[in-house]
Amino acid sequence: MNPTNASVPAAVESLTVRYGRATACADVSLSVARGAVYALLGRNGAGKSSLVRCLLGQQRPSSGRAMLFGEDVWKARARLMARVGVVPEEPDAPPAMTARQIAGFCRRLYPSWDQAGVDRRLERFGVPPGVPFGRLSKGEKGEVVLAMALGHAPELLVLDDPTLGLDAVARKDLYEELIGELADRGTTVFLTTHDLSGVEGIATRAGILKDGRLVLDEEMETLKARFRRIRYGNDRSGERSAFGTELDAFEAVRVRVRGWGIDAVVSNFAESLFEQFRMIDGVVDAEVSPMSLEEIFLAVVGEKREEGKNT
Amino acid sequence: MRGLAATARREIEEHRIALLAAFVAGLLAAGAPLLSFHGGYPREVREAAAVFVALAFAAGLSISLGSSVLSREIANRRIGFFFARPISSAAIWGGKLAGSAAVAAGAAALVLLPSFLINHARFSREIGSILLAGAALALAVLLPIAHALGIVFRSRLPRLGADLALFVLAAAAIALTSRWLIGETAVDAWRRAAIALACLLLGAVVAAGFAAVARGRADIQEAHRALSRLLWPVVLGAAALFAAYAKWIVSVGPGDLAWIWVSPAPRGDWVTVTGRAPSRAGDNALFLLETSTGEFVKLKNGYARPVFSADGRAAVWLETSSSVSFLSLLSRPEWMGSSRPVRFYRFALGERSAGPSPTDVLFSSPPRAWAISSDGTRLAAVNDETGGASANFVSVYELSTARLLAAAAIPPQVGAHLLFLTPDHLRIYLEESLGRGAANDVARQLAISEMDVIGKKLIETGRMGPFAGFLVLRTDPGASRAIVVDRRGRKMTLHDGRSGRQIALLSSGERRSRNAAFLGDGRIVQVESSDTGTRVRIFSSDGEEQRMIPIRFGPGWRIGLGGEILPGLIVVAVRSEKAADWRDSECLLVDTRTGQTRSIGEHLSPAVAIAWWGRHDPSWYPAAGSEATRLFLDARGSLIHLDASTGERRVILAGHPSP
Repeated sequence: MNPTNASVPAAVESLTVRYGRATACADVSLSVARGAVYALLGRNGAGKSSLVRCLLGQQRPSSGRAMLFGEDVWKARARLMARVGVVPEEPDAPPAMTARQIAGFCRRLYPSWDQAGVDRRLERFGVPPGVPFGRLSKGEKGEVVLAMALGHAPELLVLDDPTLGLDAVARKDLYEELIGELADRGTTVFLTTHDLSGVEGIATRAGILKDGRLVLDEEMETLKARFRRIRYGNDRSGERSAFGTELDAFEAVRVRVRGWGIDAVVSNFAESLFEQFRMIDGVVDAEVSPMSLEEIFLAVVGEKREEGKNT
Repeated sequence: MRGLAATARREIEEHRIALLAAFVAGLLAAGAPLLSFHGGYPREVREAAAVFVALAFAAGLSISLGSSVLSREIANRRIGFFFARPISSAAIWGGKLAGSAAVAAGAAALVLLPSFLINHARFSREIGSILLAGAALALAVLLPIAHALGIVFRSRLPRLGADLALFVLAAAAIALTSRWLIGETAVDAWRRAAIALACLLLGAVVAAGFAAVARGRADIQEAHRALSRLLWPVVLGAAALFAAYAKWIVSVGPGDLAWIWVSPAPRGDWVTVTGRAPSRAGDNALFLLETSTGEFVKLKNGYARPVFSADGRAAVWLETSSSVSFLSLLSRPEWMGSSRPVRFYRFALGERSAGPSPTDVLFSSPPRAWAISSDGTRLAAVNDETGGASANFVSVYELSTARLLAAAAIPPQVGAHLLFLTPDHLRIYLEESLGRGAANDVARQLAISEMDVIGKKLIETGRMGPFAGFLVLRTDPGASRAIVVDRRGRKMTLHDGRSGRQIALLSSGERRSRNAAFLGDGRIVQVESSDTGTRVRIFSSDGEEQRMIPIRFGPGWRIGLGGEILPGLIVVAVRSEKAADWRDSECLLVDTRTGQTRSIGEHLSPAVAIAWWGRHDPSWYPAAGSEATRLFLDARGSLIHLDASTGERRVILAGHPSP
């Protein structure tokens, strides 16, 4: 997807962010199609927030570009922000401002401001409009920020770990609001999160940052289709010439040896391959199960010690 | 504009508590007269208290808001709230600072309001000026500086050390350059450059603060880097530019001067040249110039111009010997006050390579009058080491060692004239006040004393007067006779130089110009102009008129006395009263023996005629036939050497049109 195409709401191109000698993002390229919900995943310190700040024009990349609607966001931030709603990692509204005042401030900046919609959302969230932002709970702050981010009907919504520190109810409110927004207007969403189960239901595409590098960037559907967990017993009494070669047809992301047999995660699962696998001498009781996004994430970025050890 | 206005409004709303506090403080200030320990009028006490508190609020809020509103929000990334909106970086920066400035200004106004209303809506002009200047300083200077410092200190980058080092480097360079310029007494140039430099540096601080926000955005460390990248090249460049400007100013030569003033040595080829250098920022510069070679020495243009010894082999002058407060110079360019220590310098004109050398003769303030002996080895000065209004000591020093040879108390006086009869003998003429006379002028008399330097005795030898007002005193080289020009009394009298006894009345009545000198053969030449015309009068040594030589007839003329170009031949300058100045004169050669006159040039003025002014040495008159008598200034301000017999002219310094 050409990142300079105005129909591409968000894209980064060979983006690198360095802090002194430390590299937060290394040569990252990705793009978010119109109407997509892109979930950028990664462990703490993987570079997600740096990438988001670059994407919002709040930080200049060391090299590469961040584009919104085909324009370099560093150069045209102010104009582009009229089309973007932002929910930052830490709700950042001035602590002395009430939700009503924040809405009043935003109303002067956005010609398309929907005050009634904002009021409805705040009411739905149960946020008191006259209490200073600094005295609201973490969840309420997040809800105020989300209400403001949606107040001008943005074409792109950028959320940086919006559920961080939220309780289950607040998380549910947030996702319901997002789902409603998607259903009503088809807003493009780019979000980073650690709440993998929460985002699994709404994300259409996922990317995984690992040590600043984008190690995975794929549609959720294909991602979940190609990742499978395979469990099988290993009968060593047969005439097998070598141990551990039965998974060679797969791209094994992780293999663990358990007492009962082998527990493997593969990233190129196909029924035909699996049928062939089952026929291999020594493979017994083979079964396959789909994986959640969290399981896939853990397989890709977590438990480094296991990698290559038993494969 | 929408973003800027919204941001500024938001800033004001956020700090409205400061406005409330200011109003309460204003009420307290208005109640200041109720306190029992004040000693002024209630209105003035209230006014002063309100202004003091208002300025404190303006300054305090400028510093506190300037150092926090942007830098703190960038450091904790709360600035992202604004950057996530369609507001330009300039609007965020400008709105935040404008809002802060409005809060500071509004707080100051609210402090003043109660006192202003109680004082019937009036404040004094002085208080208003102080208030406006203080508030402008707080808002225009403290706010942007505090903002820049806030960014620098909150980033916690190791770069802070480099910033401090660069600050010290730039401050030292600017201070040293300032000291250099002021030491060279280029005060006007320094003041102009200092104002330009301050504006440039303030502009750099403002621009760097903006760059920090525009390029750093939500990254405080990048903000600090952006600020430093813009600020230091400008600051160091400005410091270098300032130093180059100072070098250019200080390297002024006599050829740069316009509208010069020349004072020649009574013997030899040296002259003092001073004037403004319009091509070098217009400050005064002072030189010793050898007319035969064109070589010159630049002097600090201090309190007094050099005095040449009678033998023409030494020049002595005063220079300031301490630094001055830069701030006092900004507000008071007339810095040459009476409280600055001064040191005498000496230059042996025959030993040019040695250059001017400081002596160890210092005074806490410039002496009222001083003179050097004919060989230039001794200095006599009338001064008051306590810095009082009148100078009450006369002292004699040996210049080479600064040894005090003799000193004596003298009565209070309004003017003093000194001259060495010999290196061991000093004649002192003290102008003593006799109280207010006609036209509110101070009537005065001259008390004559002599100091025996070896015997360390001061003896009063006579008195002259009374006179109606300001005096001009001329003596012959041995001071045996003295001429007093009493302008207010409209008379010119000849006296015995030691006893003061009046020998003759040389001239009386209304004169438009009047001057006199002793010729080499002892006769007296007097020039004067009146409604009937201008004339030269020749008197014998005892004041008997020998000849009257008319120069111009009728009113509207002035006449100046030049030097004795050859024994018995004097130069006079005649100009119409409508002429712009003496350089627009016609110079005439007057034979004092035959009465014949001959024009030697127009649009000329003899250097001698100009050099009379501002002298303390009553015996100064160049020797007959000396180089000084042949020096003239033309209408363009050129200094020229004129051979009166051939009319040949040699330009020593090319003139520049007057600025």
